[in-house]
Amino acid sequence: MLEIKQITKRFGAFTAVDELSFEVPEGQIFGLLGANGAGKTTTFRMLLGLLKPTEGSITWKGQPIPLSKIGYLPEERGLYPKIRVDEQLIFLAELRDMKRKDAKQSLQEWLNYFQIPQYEKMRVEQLSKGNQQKIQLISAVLHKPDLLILDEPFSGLDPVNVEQLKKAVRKLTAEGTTIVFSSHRMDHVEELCEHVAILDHGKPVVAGYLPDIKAGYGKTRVLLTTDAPPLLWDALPGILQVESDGTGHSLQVESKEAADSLLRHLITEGFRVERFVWDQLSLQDIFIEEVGKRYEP
Amino acid sequence: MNHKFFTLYRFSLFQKLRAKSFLISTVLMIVFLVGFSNIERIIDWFSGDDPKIAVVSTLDTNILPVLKQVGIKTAITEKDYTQKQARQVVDKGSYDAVALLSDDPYRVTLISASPEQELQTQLSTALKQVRDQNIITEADVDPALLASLAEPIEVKQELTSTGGKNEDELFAASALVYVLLFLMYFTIAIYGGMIVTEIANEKSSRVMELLISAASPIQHMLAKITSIATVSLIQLSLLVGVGYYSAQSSSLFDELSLDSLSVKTIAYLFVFFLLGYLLYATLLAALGSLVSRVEDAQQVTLPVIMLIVAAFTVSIFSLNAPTNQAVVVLSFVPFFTPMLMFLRVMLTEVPVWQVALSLVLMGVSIALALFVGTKFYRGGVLFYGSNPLKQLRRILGGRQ
Repeated sequence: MLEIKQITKRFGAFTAVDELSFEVPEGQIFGLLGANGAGKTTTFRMLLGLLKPTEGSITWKGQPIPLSKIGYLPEERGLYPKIRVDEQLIFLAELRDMKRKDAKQSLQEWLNYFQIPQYEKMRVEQLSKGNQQKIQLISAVLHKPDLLILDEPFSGLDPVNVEQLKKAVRKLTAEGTTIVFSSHRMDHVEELCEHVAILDHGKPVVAGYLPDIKAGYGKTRVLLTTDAPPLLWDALPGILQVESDGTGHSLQVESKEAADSLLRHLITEGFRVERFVWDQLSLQDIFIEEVGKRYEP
Repeated sequence: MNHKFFTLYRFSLFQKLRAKSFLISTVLMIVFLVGFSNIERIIDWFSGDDPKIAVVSTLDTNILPVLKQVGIKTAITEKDYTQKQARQVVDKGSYDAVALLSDDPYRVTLISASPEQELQTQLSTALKQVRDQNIITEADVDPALLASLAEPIEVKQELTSTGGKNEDELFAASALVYVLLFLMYFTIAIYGGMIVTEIANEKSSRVMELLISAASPIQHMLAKITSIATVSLIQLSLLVGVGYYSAQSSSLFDELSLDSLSVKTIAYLFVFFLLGYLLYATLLAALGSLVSRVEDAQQVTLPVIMLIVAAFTVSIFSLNAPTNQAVVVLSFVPFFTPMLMFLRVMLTEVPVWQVALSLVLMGVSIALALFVGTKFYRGGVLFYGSNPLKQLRRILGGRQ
């Protein structure tokens, strides 16, 4: 269990992270969300021991996190461009206390997993961006860490590479690795994480088990396709917001009851309803709701 | 701790030694050194055969043995040219020079295509010898009397401050110290710069974050400093070895008194070089951690490079006055100690306590530089901005 208790990091008068707490059970994936500058990277640097929290504590199984048990994929990718893949990866694994022989074997396994064994002896600068990213991920997991920190692991990748990396992330959790990761892409977070926290200006605005968070929002979303023009129903009580496009309307409604009465209204008025989908708010909606509104004029 | 330091050290050293730039620069330096110490042979080789010289002599004395005696090494042919004929044979290239010698009055006419400075002097000396001999013979002077007049008076010099070295030895020692000081200056500047480049490179490729999240910044900094010190020692021993060997087989370095390159000298050189390197390298590493790109490195390292240049300049001026009071005082200032104390030890008699004190002061300042340096380093390596001075203020203000 990774336990983060009330950590605060101040740089002079500036507070980068403000009383953040969360827990990640072993073998689970935790998503840390936030706009640019919200404090995600600072939080990761504290987890890695690169920065000391001004206040609060970070523990792994009740102890300070041992450096050799952490794997880290930084947001700004970092490898030696002019050094061979195998040389630098084995070096980085040795630096995290893995034996040379074991590192070599682990490297072979991972290169084979991504089906890129031919890159072993190549220099990093000779590889494409997607392949560099795979090498970067291998550098984070080669030494078989218990805790893996992934800072924006999917940014700048094409969909095929994103799928490959997601598959690797699932494989790692299945093997018992605990993962903390950050992303701007809410769909990725929703797909992979059970627990999330949304940071805004260093403060956690939403945190917890994702289904609970969603359920906790009374608001729901309705996807509607009907021949009734919005003018005839968008002023009904409980309807908060309507967005329309060629395929239909996406509504935010106050509660499930409000959605029910909308459907009844349309049918009793004799309109045709081709599609009526009742859904929870997506993480994207919650994020925009919680973080986005602060930026509105 | 030790395992991580060693892993970092080995990786850095191995990558450096295998780099093409290292191989090429080493080979180039060796080629340059061998070429330089054999410059005389190379010039001889290009200038081709020995010059051909002819002599036309109207003297009673046989001039050939005298010419040989004054140091003309090439074979000389006696001919019977007129001045006009002599010009013709030189023009045709049959001879490089023709010398016409006469004794009424004593005079040499030298006809050659290009100016022959050395030959002129030699001919003049030879003819003077012949003339003097003739004068002496005519005056009927006792040769023994003459010999005693020619006897020079010897001055036996004793220098009190130089540990019994006489002037010649002192000069030779200064020349050697000059070369070694230059070597020290050059090496510290080059390899110190290398440290800054390496750190800036690791920062700009962002691999630094991975390194210091696995090992501590101080381990990383020490590994960098020691691995590059090892590289420098390997390269230097190659150069000194090759240089010593080729200098011994060349006359160019006769003045250097390489024989005085004793074990003591080498030990002092090693100790002072290493301490100087450690002090400067630590400062450079700390400052290097403040820049994010290699291009920015110069602006932060300039002050340290200036210090190295200042120390070298002062030590060059001190070569002529190693006992000067200012030199003695400065030799205890850590930034100057490596060069100035080395110079004093080599050229004068320095009390043991002074050497020991300077070494202790060096050790203390290296420890201090390491302490301050790691503070800088910790805050610096994660900083990616364009203004190193701003970062410096943040670190000094305790905000990192």
